[in-house]
Amino acid sequence: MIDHLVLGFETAFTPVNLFWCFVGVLAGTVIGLLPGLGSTTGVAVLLPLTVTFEPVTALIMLAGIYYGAQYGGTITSVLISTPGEAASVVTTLDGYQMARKGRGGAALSIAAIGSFFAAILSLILLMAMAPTFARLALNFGPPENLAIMLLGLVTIISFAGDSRMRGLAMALAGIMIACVGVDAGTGLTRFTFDNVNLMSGIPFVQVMIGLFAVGEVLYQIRSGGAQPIRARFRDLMITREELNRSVAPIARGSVIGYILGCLPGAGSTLASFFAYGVEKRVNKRGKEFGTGAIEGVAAPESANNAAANANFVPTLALGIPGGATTAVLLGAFMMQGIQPGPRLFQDEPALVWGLMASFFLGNVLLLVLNLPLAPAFAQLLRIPYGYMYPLILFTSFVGAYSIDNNFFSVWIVFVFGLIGYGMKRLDLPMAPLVLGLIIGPLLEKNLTQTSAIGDGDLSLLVTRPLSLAILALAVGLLIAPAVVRRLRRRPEPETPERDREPVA
Amino acid sequence: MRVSANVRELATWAVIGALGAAFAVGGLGYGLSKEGGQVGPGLLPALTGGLLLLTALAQVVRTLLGSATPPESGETVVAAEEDLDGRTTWQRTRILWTVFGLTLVALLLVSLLGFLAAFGLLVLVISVAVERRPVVPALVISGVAVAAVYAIFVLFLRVPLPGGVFGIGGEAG
Amino acid sequence: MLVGAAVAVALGATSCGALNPTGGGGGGGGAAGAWKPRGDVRMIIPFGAGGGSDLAGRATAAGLEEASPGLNVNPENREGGAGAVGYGFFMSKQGDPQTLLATENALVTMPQTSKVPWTYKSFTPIAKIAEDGSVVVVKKDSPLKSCMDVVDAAKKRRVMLGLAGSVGGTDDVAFRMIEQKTGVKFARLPTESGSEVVSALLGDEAEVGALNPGEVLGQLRSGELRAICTSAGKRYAYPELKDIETAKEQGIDITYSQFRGILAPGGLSAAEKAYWIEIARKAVNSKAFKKYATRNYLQTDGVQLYGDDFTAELAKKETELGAVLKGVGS
Repeated sequence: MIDHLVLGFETAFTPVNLFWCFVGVLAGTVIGLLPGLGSTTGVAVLLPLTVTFEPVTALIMLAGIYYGAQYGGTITSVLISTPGEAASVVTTLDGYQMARKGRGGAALSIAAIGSFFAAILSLILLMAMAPTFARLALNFGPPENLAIMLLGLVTIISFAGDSRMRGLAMALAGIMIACVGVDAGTGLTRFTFDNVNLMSGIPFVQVMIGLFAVGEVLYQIRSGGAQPIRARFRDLMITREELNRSVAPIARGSVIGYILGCLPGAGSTLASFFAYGVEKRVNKRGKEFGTGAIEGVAAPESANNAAANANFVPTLALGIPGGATTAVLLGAFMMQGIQPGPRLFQDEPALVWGLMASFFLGNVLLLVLNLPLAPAFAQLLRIPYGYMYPLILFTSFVGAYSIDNNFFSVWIVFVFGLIGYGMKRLDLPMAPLVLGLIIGPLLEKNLTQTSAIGDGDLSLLVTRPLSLAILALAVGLLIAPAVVRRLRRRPEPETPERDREPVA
Repeated sequence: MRVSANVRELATWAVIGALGAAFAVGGLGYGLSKEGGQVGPGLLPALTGGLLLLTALAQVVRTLLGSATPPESGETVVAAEEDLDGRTTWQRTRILWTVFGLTLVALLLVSLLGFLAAFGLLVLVISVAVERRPVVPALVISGVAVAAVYAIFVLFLRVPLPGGVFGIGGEAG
Repeated sequence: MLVGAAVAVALGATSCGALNPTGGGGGGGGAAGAWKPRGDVRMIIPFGAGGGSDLAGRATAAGLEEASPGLNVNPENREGGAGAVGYGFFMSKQGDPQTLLATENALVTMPQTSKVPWTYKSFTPIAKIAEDGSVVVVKKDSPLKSCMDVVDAAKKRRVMLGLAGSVGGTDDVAFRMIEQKTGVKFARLPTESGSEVVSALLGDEAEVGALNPGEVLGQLRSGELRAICTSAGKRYAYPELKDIETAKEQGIDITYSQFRGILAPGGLSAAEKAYWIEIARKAVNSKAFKKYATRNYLQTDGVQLYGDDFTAELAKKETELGAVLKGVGS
């Protein structure tokens, strides 16, 4: 283990690798800042540039882009309510509210700090026991994944806070919209009206840009609330109190993110949503979530980064990508003539350990780069909104077009921009809709697969112990608030242990 | 005020319910199961559509019975009667729909002028004509924006932006 | 200022592209001297960046550049609708010899399973440059030793296949052919990608899977999975794959592979077509393409076809698939 670590750092710490790691992190951050372009696109687009590199250098740079792009997406989520990818949707909930209150710098700082600690924790777990976790993850078949999706749905509903019915309705609508397109099980096209653009479904990134970026612009124009911030530079920095409040959420978020990120394909998208939902329940400030609570940024951002690292668990240990971006990275392995698979650790120790050492480096670079930059980025909000929002519209539409070079995407953004505005006016929550849209295809796939395995019988869901346990957890979460409320009605004083709980 | 809030609430849920019903019917048409009794292509849309319809109906009933208070609309809190530019709510609503219309025009102009020109103009027109910002800074900002987008998207990321009939900053359509 | 320069550059590039300086070109010149592309050429990839078809398209573009010094071929992803969007966009480039498309099986399967306004006849097939066969694999401790064993097992019990891609995809078609030839029926676990199939096999959710060699070699090498046959027409030449018998050798008379090729828009002049065919012939011997082909374990020797030969094979494939895919997706 130690000699492996030494080997890894020797491999990663060459000037060339350090340089490209830095370039990757920086380029990734810039790409992540562009609406619509997340880590998957970033890695895929810059992949051809690395063909001529040494394999280790190429992968180190691509991993840097992966991390950088995620952080870039966080910056736009916080500052202009435009999530770069699915994982940062929840960051907008509190991060953007913080920015509107002049605490954007603090939100960005805690995202960087939380991500860093999550990365270090998950890296240690990755180095120490990737194969073990990967084997365990194989026990997650379609029924277990289906149970996780249902658990995810239950978590969504809790986002909506007081109006659960609205959250539920929007989540259902999201899943429903996700049904548009070709059904994988039969090849049947559904709800497409013979439009080829709809055959692959309504893409969630475009929907996200429409709802969050364009919808928010329209809403701000109407409400007139978006004024440039007037805070001094010093006030944009994070305070000690905010740091202290974030310690426990970062720890919880990292653990949740790591566990979900180990599951190939299904869990990692949900990591930040889960972490937010859990934090909202266990944190004593849970009620403040959605109005600009720093815990609501710290938890999902840590979870997201932990999941990003944990995605490498199945990728490196089994050759099965953990998520969309690691799938593209696997393509990069093959382009470099490296066969990913269970023997990768034995066959290419220098590469694997060098890569893991570079994850560490990349995260250090990201922290060093972004801690001073966070307040500087927050300065952007000094720009008068009258200049700002036309630019947001411009980049949103260009970003949407560049996702698939298809003008249809631009129309989706336009339509969902209008829908997003309407939803805001009518107090319909948008995060459940987006999560429904993301979960929908996964839900349907695992439902179809479970039914295929059971030959039409779905009882596997309750006969396999692991899926039964997850389902029980989901049901527990669903009815817990009602039970708690009933208990609370007794004349006892406020249950004191809830306040003392933060260190979980 | 109270009545109109209820009406708005009812209309919202009627639309949502109708949407759910449409997907449910469509889903039934695609078939709930396929041969062998396995989950078919219509099951999920029918299920979620049906549940959405039920949720909407429940909300309608609760609103009519007065047991569901429509959420306090956030805007009454956020929206100052007059913002810092001294605009009233009515003026801001007009601006909103002007921006919306201008964006639509810009989208339609893309096939004629190309992406960059159409949106460069949109930025300029909004900041000068709608937001009443001074012309020179607005020109500079829209110019810089177009240049930055061109550099990043067209030159660096090689995105083939539509160039309109003149092929400005992209391929000619 | 920058904008002005940019506009000038763009204008220059497009005016070259729009004009078609073929001139006479008649008399079946054949030689590449008759027509040459002016300015940049685009290579449409009808799938997203990072996937198998993307890698193929980029390698082909690099090969074409290497084969014709001074030529610039820019890959461009137009994904969506399992390829339908990209091919649909390509339809709008009728008669434009400056745009190519990195084609694969969707060219033939798509028109049969979905309502799309094109078939292979709408375009000018230039070259088939490689085949990417499927290797049928099972978990290491499976009792199935050959593809015939799989068929025999399916006669007695339920055999679950892990399939990458939806109905009409390469794997699905290969197994449909086996079903038609032998009369057995398999159970199917639909997944979205080869790696999901690997995952399903290792997790015992599926018993048999078909994967491209590049997707599964890591597992074969470590012994987690075992190859039992290939759907390719002939055995692989690669040393690590040469011992895998073809399905045909085992008594199942089917061959089906994913092909990789170059497509030009419809309505090209003879000179334009001849130019691209000649460049394609050189491109398959380029370093860039060969490197790609070996690293992804593609079959190239003896499967490459050009111009009308490629068109003839597409016609054959269409009839063959018509029978296999009857009633799918409607």
